[in-house]
Amino acid sequence: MELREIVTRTERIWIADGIVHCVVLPTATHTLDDAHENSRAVDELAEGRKLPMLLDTRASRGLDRDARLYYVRPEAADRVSALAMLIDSQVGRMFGSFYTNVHRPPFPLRLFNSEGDALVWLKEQVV
Amino acid sequence: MTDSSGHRPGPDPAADPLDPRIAALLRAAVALAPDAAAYASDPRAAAETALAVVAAELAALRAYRERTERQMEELFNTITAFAALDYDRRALVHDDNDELINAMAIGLNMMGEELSHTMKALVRARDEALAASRAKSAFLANISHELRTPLNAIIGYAEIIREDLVDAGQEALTIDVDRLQIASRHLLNLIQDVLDLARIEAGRVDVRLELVDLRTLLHELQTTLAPSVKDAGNVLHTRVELERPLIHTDPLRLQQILLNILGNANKFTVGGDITLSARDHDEHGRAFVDITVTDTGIGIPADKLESIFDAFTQVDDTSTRRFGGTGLGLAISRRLCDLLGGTIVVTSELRRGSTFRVRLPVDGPQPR
Ligand SMILES: Nc1ncnc2c1ncn2[C@@H]1O[C@H](COP(=O)(O)OP(=O)(O)O)[C@@H](O)[C@H]1O
Ligand SMILES: [Mg+2]
Repeated sequence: MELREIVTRTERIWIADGIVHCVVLPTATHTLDDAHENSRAVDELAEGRKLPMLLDTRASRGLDRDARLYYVRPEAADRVSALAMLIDSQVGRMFGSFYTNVHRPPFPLRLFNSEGDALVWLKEQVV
Repeated sequence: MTDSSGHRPGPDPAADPLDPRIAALLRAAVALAPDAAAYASDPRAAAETALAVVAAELAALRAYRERTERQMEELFNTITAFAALDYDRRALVHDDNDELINAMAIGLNMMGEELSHTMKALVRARDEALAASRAKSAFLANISHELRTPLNAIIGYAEIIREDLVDAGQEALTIDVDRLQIASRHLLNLIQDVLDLARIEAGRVDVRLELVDLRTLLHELQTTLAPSVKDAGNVLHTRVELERPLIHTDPLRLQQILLNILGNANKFTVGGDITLSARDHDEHGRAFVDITVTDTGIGIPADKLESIFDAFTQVDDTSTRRFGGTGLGLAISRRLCDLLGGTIVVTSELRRGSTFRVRLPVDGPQPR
């Protein structure tokens, strides 16, 4: 299967086996512009499909409030069917706790310590 | 080279029989970065290597500590800003920071942003609520005023009609006009109370302080109330025991308060005693007067003792029909007492009677 990948200012994004992989890069704090750019990249790769997503935030340099809210805006549910967050790092744990307690996304969210378990769950979420 | 013990010095230090203390030191040094094989062949060299490794590690550790201290300092400064309610400060996130430190910095930043956002939203909501409340009070004050004017006209014209009916020998018809007047007066009182409360809540009530002789004021009250007390079959006793009868207060407001609680006492007591008394009271080096109104009426249930001071609250919902009133009197009285720098409290026993105590500072309210 052909593997296309888009690298934005703040993320590396690709799709494999119907799952969107997002790895946050240690470049900078995400701004709203970055959030737009990343969402566009996902749209482009997904070609209109609604897909589950695996998110690795371990190298994150944080994201500001506008960006945080953008990722979990109601319309985000049109593109993302489910989100698995890797929390096998301290930064990951923090984002995991934040998105479960403060700004809940409009799609199912599960936290995983292992990428393998995350992928198993995500495969069940393919719509 | 021969030592004093006559041992032969060897070229190979490993072969050198060592002083046991030195051997112990070398072994201890090597234990810091153990390399058993090297120690066996050359204890000194092994110890040197081990110490070099330890020194390098120490240097790295010191650099790490300094770096961590700097990063912690950054977090500390952020927390200090948050503690001073400055939520706009952000901790820097660096590539060469420890992951844990970065995680804390990112977390602090999110916390600051969320708190800042929430605080601003709360302040905005509070300001809007306050503005709305002031607008409501201002509206009530205005509308009450607008209502009073036509009502006074109605009461006035009813009076004229009544006189005309009497003159025309149509006295039987005056009953209806009397009802009209009673209802209008009740409405006027209600409007007056609403107006008062709205004015107080809109902060539009000024207190006019003057030196008031309480003996005179209480005597006048007694005279004013005498007819209605008699109507209710009650007896009003007055006990003024004041060493300092002169107090700084607003006589009109004080009258309003006392008229209301005396009016209540008279309303909720039938064929009983009402006692109006005044005495000096000192507290925390300040001089006060206590004015109390005690009745032998129906009393107030313990669980209602506080709520009767809320606006529109009466012990019994049927009270308005049975006793009249609006449930605003005590709410107004308490706010007025507040404005005069005093307090109003109540004690009561069901079916035995109630005591309302107004405590006022002799030298007037303290400047706010
Ligand atoms: N002296 C009293 N004895 C019994 N009940 C009282 C007395 N004074 C006040 N109350 C209770 O407190 C309520 C509130 O009083 P108030 O605020 O003056 O309103 P109102 O007199 O218009 O009913 C009264 O309706 C009554 O239930
Ligand atoms: Mg009353």
